[in-house]
Amino acid sequence: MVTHRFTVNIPNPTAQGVVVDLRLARVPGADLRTLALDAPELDLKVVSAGMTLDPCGVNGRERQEVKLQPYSSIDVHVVIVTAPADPAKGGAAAFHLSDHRGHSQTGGVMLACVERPGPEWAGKVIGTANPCPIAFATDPYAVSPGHDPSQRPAHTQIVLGTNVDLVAAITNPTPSRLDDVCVYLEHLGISDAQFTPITWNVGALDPREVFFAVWPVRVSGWMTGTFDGSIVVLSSRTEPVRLRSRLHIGREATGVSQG
Amino acid sequence: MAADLRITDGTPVWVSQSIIPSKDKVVSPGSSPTIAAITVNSTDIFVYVKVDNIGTVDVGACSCTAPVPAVWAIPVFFPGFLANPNGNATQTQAGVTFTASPAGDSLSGAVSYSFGVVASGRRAWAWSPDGRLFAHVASPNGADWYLTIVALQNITRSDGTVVSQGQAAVAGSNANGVWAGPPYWTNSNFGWAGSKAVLASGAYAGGGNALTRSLACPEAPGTNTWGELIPTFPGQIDWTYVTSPCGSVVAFVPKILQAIAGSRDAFLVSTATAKVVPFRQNNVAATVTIVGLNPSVTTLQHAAKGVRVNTGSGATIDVDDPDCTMVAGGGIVVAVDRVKASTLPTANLGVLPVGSATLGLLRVGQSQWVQVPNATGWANQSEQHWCLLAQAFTADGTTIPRPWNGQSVNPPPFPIAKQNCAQRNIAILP
Repeated sequence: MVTHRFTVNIPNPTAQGVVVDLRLARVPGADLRTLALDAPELDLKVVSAGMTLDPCGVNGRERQEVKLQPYSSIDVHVVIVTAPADPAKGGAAAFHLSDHRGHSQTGGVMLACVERPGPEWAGKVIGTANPCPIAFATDPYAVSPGHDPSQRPAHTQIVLGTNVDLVAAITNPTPSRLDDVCVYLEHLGISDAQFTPITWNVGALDPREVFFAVWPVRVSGWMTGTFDGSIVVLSSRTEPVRLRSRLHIGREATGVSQG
Repeated sequence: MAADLRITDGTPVWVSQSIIPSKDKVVSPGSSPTIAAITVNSTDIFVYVKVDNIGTVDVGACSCTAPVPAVWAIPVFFPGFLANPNGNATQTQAGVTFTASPAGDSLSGAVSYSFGVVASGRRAWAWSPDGRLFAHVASPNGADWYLTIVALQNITRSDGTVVSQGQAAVAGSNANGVWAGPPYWTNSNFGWAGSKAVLASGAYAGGGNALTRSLACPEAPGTNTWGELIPTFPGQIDWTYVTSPCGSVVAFVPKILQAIAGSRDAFLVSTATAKVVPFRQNNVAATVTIVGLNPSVTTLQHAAKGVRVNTGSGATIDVDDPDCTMVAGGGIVVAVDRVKASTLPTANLGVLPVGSATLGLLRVGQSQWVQVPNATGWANQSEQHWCLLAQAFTADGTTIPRPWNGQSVNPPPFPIAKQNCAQRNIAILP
């Protein structure tokens, strides 16, 4: 048997005392599959399920009433015991713990018991059938604020504590003109640099023509390293596409490369 | 016409299918990711948030929708003028009455403002073409002039500050001058250049062939008047001033009356900053040199290289449309936080930021997935059960304000009832 334990906080953020009616109900397997969870499709066999106020409790009830003082909360412990899953296929079971106050449901959480077969899923690249063909003419780089964005510095640096203009030189690599081209910066990865959201309306872009999109970036945080930002390009009659924008941020003493 | 965004709730509400933690690298914002399990050591998980535009306007598009082609317009001279200390005049527009009298000039009605006594009697005035502003020029002595522009409704400057209704957006203390005379200046020395600037131009008081010209920009912050003194070349070079269709810039364009004068460069003054800005081609500064008698500027499309300048001799050069090539702060911000799960989505149990990202353009009826990186990791504080809280709002902070700031001190409950807010339960495994 496998025991799944969940601790769920039941809060009362109001100035009045309240009686909370908690109900534990299994999510039907068919409903669970519609939620598109990262879980095996097979149902786990549930041996027992219940909630208790005892952190070490093993037996609980499917319905529990708790009284809460104003501005207080209590932890409820949900214990779900399942039969072992087929190691080759895994399985899943889920429960809704719903919260009823007065005569209505005021909230709830979903508790999922999952046994996965094999190693963790690594993720994949999800392509698109009709991608916008706009591409970088050169890797994105940074210039000093207000400087000519078409002049890529020989030794571009992004240094902590500075402001820069991030430049994305985009081009049309196809033999035909592209219309209604737009470009915007979606994010700078997990860096803590901040940027000014700007959408560039490039309009028509002829073959091999280059447009220099610019976003002011404030590197005022504390994170250094290599970060993968995302720049999105759009054109008419195509699907928008994310272009990876790799940038390196470092301290002044060590210098930084960009590209 | 209203902007409206939605992150669709789940059924039940705590399992929104529009918030998906995923390891996938999704090429197109139009494609859906697949959900991934999260562990405390995960570093490769994005939170994808699907945003729907359920309003009646495109979000992130340029707000300038002036029809094209559009020839850039010359300023409209102030229609109101008096040069008599004992003269009287009254004009009313949209509930605001301007009164000129020997006892002093003023606005009354929906807006009250006193311009004071005009000692010389010489004054000119005009409402802006869009009716949001009122401009008044007065002269204490005849040759001098002081320009005041009053906000007839709240005006947001380019730095986000607001000039309240009834306050001076441009004060005479930084918009003034002295011109040659007599004969002294008239209303034809002043004109509205679009609805975001007043152009003033007159003969230099110091003599010689020179003129001073200035542009007062009520939406610019700080000292919001640009000006210069330049030599004139009568019979050889003249100047025309034209405004972009949505008034973001005023172009100062020379007219080469005789070939002996050679050529001169045109330039732009931004009404958002009251500073000279360059023409641009594909966002690179470009020089526009005028060589002939009849230059003109026409917007052909609201995009890069969408403006055609006739250099006066028939030759043309295409430059970026200053009204629309760059749309700053016009998109959507998606912010994601997480809290320890409780049965109340509004309980704010230890709010941690996940990250934020932007969606630059979302047209009416469209839905797009925004890729939000996690900048703070997935530490679970020994509690596996967490809830992602996602919200979408406009980057300008005003069209659709940020519904909630979980990083503020004592944040209010997460407004799960708002349709631009949603949540999803997740497990962060050890």
